[in-house]
Amino acid sequence: MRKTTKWIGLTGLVLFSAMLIFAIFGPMMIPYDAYKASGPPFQSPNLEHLLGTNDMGQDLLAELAVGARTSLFIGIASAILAVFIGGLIGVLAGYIGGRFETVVLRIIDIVLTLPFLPLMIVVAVYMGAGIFTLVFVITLVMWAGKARQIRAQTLSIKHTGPVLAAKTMGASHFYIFYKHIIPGVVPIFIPQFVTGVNAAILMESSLSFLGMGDPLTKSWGSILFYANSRSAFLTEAWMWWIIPPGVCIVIVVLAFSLMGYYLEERFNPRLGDYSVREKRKKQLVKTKEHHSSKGVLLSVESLTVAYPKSGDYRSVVDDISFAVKNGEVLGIVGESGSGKSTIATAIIQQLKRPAKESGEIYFEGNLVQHFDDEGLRQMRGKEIGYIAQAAMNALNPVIRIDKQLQEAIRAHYQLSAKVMDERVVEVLQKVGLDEKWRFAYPHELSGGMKQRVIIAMALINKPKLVIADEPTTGLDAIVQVEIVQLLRKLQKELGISMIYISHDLPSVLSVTDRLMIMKEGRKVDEGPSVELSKLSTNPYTRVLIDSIPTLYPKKETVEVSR
Amino acid sequence: MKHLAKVKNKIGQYILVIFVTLTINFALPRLAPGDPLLYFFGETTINELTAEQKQEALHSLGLGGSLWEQYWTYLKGVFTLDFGTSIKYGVAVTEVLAERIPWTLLLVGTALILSLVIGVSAGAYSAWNRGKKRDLTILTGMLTLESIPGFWIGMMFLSIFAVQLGWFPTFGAVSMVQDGTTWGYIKDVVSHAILPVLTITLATVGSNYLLTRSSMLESLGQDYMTVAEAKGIKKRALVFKHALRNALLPIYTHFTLSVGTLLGGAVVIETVYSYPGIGRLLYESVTARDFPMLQGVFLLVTMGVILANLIADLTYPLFDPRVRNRKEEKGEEITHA
Amino acid sequence: MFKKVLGLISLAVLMIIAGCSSSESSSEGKASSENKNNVEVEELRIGVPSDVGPLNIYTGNMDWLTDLVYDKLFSPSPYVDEPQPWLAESAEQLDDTTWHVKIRSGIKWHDGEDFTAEDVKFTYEYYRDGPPNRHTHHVSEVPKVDTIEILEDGETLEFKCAYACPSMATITFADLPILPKHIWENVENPRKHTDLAIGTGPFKLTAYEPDQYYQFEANTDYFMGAPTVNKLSMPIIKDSTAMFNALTSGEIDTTTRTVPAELQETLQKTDSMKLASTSPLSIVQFGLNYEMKPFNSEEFRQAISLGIDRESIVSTVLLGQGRAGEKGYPHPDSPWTNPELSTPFNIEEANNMLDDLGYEDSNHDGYRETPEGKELKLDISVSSAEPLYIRTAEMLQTQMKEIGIQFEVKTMDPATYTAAVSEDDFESYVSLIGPHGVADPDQFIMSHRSSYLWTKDLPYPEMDELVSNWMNATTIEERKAISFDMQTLYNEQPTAIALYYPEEIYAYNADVYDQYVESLGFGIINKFSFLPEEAREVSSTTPVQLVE
Repeated sequence: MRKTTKWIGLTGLVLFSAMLIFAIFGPMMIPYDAYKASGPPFQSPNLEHLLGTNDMGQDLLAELAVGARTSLFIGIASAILAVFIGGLIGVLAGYIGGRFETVVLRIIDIVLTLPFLPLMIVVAVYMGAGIFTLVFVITLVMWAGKARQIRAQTLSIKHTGPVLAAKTMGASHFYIFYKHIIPGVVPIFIPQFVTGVNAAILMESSLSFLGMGDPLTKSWGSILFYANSRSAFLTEAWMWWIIPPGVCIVIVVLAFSLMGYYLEERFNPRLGDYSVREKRKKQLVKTKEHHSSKGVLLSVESLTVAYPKSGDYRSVVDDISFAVKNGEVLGIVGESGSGKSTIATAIIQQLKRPAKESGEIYFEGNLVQHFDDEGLRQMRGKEIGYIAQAAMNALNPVIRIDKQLQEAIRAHYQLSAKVMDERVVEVLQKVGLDEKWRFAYPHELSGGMKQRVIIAMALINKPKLVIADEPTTGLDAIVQVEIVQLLRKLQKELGISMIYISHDLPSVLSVTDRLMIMKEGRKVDEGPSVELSKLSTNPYTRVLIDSIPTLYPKKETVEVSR
Repeated sequence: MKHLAKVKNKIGQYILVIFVTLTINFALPRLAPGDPLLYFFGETTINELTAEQKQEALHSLGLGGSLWEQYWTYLKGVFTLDFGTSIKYGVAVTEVLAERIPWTLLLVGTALILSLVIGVSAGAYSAWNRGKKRDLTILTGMLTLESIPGFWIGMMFLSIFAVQLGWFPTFGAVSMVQDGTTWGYIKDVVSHAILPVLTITLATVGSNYLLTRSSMLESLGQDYMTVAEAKGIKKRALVFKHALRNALLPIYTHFTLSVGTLLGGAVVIETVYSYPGIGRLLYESVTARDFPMLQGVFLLVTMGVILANLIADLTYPLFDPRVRNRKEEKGEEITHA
Repeated sequence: MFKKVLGLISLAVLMIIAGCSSSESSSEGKASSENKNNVEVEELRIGVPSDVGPLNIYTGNMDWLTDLVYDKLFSPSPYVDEPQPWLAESAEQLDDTTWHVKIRSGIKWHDGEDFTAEDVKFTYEYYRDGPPNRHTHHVSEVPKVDTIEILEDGETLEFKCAYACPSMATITFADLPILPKHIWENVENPRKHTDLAIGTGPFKLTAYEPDQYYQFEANTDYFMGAPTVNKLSMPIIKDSTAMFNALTSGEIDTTTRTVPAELQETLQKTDSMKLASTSPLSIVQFGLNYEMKPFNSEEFRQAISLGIDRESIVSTVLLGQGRAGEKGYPHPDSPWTNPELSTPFNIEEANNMLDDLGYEDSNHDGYRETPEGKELKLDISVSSAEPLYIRTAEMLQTQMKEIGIQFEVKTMDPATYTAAVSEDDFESYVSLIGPHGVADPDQFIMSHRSSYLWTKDLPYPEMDELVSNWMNATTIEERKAISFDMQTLYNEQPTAIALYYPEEIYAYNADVYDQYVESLGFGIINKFSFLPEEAREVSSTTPVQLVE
């Protein structure tokens, strides 16, 4: 959680509380009854009436305070109702599906085209003009949109692994609801509620402005209605009759938006933890000349990466040092969360913010931390190829395969379209894919094929080093074997260096020359692969090795559209 | 065969939706008390008319028949595009609509595009710079804009730019007197449209911005972004080609749906600027209980929304290759989400 | 046989008188009569607050606007003491029920056709037999015209009424616009007639864009002299703020929307802006549903009337811009209204009356219960589009509390409100009634038949007697005297209580045009403001009263 996010949330809370206090205590503190004339009409601000009086001689400040109650009530009540009704219907529709869902969706379609103004008039006739009419109509108009969005969210949860698993295991609907659906959709209730409050308050003011609100109840909207119809925009009265209710509306709506922003940042997992990295300036790059003479391609020295956790920084990679020589394959093994992938991203300097990094990484004898943005860019993809984890999502879903491959070339070389296409075909063949697939989109490929494309992409510029970060995760066992064999073959063919990261020890053993075992961010063991597997006395290494062979259960990931 | 049945089913559903909507549109104004006579006789004279005289007047306006007859005429009109004659304006409903639609399109359409362009660029910029000062500045600015009621901005603009400074006209879509040149006409129309367009833009840009920002953040956090960056491609391509293209999908859906509401005009802003658009027409027709006119406007709005839905359904696959092959089962969720 | 020659004043005589008086009185008048053929202003832009269609009198209704295009036999309106012949050259009452009207010759319709006696005959018969509009009852009911004949000279019409009709010239002739026969005889449904109006008036309607504008051009051949303004452009601006924004920014030169009290000071400070105060002959009224309990009791209605502090409403809601309705109904400025009328404010008496009627606060909640001991709570219906009336209703609610009657304000959208009032689905209401309702003497009788002030079907012996006396009366004086009695009777137990008589202030840009005159009940924007001096003189117009 970023500090500023907290500040923003706090500001929202303070603004909202201030308005709430004004609404609750304002009418008690202000010595005038907002509904009774307490002075001559159209008075400008003075000591008795701090904001002057309205056209009836009622105190404007008192009106504002009483109006705060009405406006807040309308905003919050409509939002609660709309989110509740929309949520209930949305969740049920998404969960039950079938005919019920179809009917609900069509009803939503109809409601969304309902003409708002006539609706307001008709309802006002039968319910009488008043704040409940406003709440009713606003809710009626708002729930449908919410239901639609909540249904979509429910649907996406319904198709996730855990729910499917629970279903196959015969869990009751209640259980699935309680355990999966509710926790899944509630985070989106919050922003829905916030936008609901805001929309309701703005709608009330607009309706009142058009004369379709309740002119007998004091609300910010009705104050503005009278101000406008008594020419306040044309005289200097706008300063105390138009600005204050306007500012009140802005404050409340802004307060909810700010709080909503905070909650969204905090609870919406979809937003991810992206944030931009600082721009790197050009500087003199520290070098270690002797590396090349010793054949050291990459050298990582006392690398520590820490992320903030509960006010403090916690290291996910702790004082790791290793080197990779030309043509060597280094395996990094450890259970998930041991910091393997962090090392990989640290090497290509793509650590997620706000990571704190110390130690030095030399590539070809140059300290990569000293590279500027352009320097890094030229290193990435050209010198160091990166094979990502989670193949399902590593390719951009809306860009064709050949485009994504060509792009990797174009980033570093200027070639003609024809030559590029040849390269693409060539590299696809190399990873064992028919060239026709270059015209496909990622979703048309199977998991194994996608991973082959990723490998092709990493190798297309014939880099000196390839980092393969759990390249087989999420693939069928048979495909896993194929991919590992492919990597080994290519590495041999091209004579490249490689860092192979995995928790799948057997495959690592079959590929690597040297092995590094990690646990909780620390290096626990290191040595030539074969030796290590046979001779290591480290208890952790032994546990790992002894648990071979394994077949990892297929991890279900159903992609759900958004 | 199965595919065909599905399509048929879907078409059937839509027809049912249209039918129900049309019926609601017919019934709703009639449920409200009051008839168009007020606008015929004026408030003071209407009191002087006897009940028989009023009944007779209603008859002569073609509103005398039974509800069923009126309903039947209305439904027939929908298919023959003949909505009858507006009671208030005395001319064919279609004629009034044809007169108003261009103004609304000019106003709301321009604002919609402006708001989209500004909202998306600011949102993308903000997301890319997440957490930095410029992100927060834009963010708070946009949130504030989003919290100001549109009519409030409009009235302020009028007071300041039109009345105090005299830079723009205060009402209408064109001046009554033209100098006769095309260029003069264009200038006149533009000067009338600037303030309302700006107002609608400011009032709607916030939501486009927020949607873009969160949608961008979502795609920026995706694995393919890490992979793309690791390929060494340039920042510009990273933002526009990879992140934005994916982020644009929900924005596109949102946009097409708001195009649907476009035809409904902007009641409040058109009222503030006395602009002769569809929104104001709707408002006036409601208060005048001009049933034929109302039916025409409603139909336009309904068709707009349904058409936009359809367009969204049909064009979405162009932007998202994933839906191309499994459109049937997934298309709906995507466009409606 | 009693005969009264109402007017045998020829145009020539009038012209001479007018010419003399103007040349004697002021050099300014002379100047304007000298250049009467010269246009003074090329274009005048007048903002109008509502759209009344292409000036079809069967749909639209804004008398001053209709009046620009159409002429009447007499002018300017029934609201003045003695309307003068206009399209008519002269009119003569032969006996109680017979009138002769000689029309002016040589007048042409805007489309070039000749205006003839046939047009007059057609129009009056059309009004009498055709669908009703706001004018028609002046030939079909009060008075009732039986036959219309064109005499042999082809220029004189003979009207025969069903019963005595002394006020034909002063009211009927002064109120009914004459339509061109050659157009209207072909109109199938007058309510659906949408062609631009064709009349004989000083201005031709050249363009009408619904909800956007009207455009008029001067009828330079006008028989009372060419208008002083060549072109009238009238943008339709509904919102009050927008209207005055346009006025201050100079986009319009004046407006028929009158200046709200709170805006007066600001506009007065604006350069070149002049404010003119007029008496609009309208009343803001508190209407009671006299057919339901408790308003069906005369004493109860009187008690309510006594309990209203009209002065405080005027000072609060109107900021003093208007007069308290203490002179009752109809409008005190109308020559047809009994000047002795009085509807005072007297809480004590109101309370006494209510006590006597048996309305007492038996449960001490501050409000009286019905004599049967039931709770009494009455609604005041008011249109949500009229903030001033809402405010007035709110004040009434407070004031009625003082006499222990519980009222509650109920707002509804304008159309719902109108429907409720016209369908008798209300308990009480606050609204405005314009000149036609409160200054037209025959209308007072009409209003007692049409259910507005009373309804035909409900017996009301005292009033019925007066009405039959009135019908039998054959002279205007007699009728006036009986009218005065009716008004006195009415105000003792009013069914629509006069709350205040608004004063209306017009603002105009004097740099553009400064020749306005007031025509009673029409304000300063009326056709006479754009006609040469002579025409104004004939029409009992008065100079504008500037607000200092």
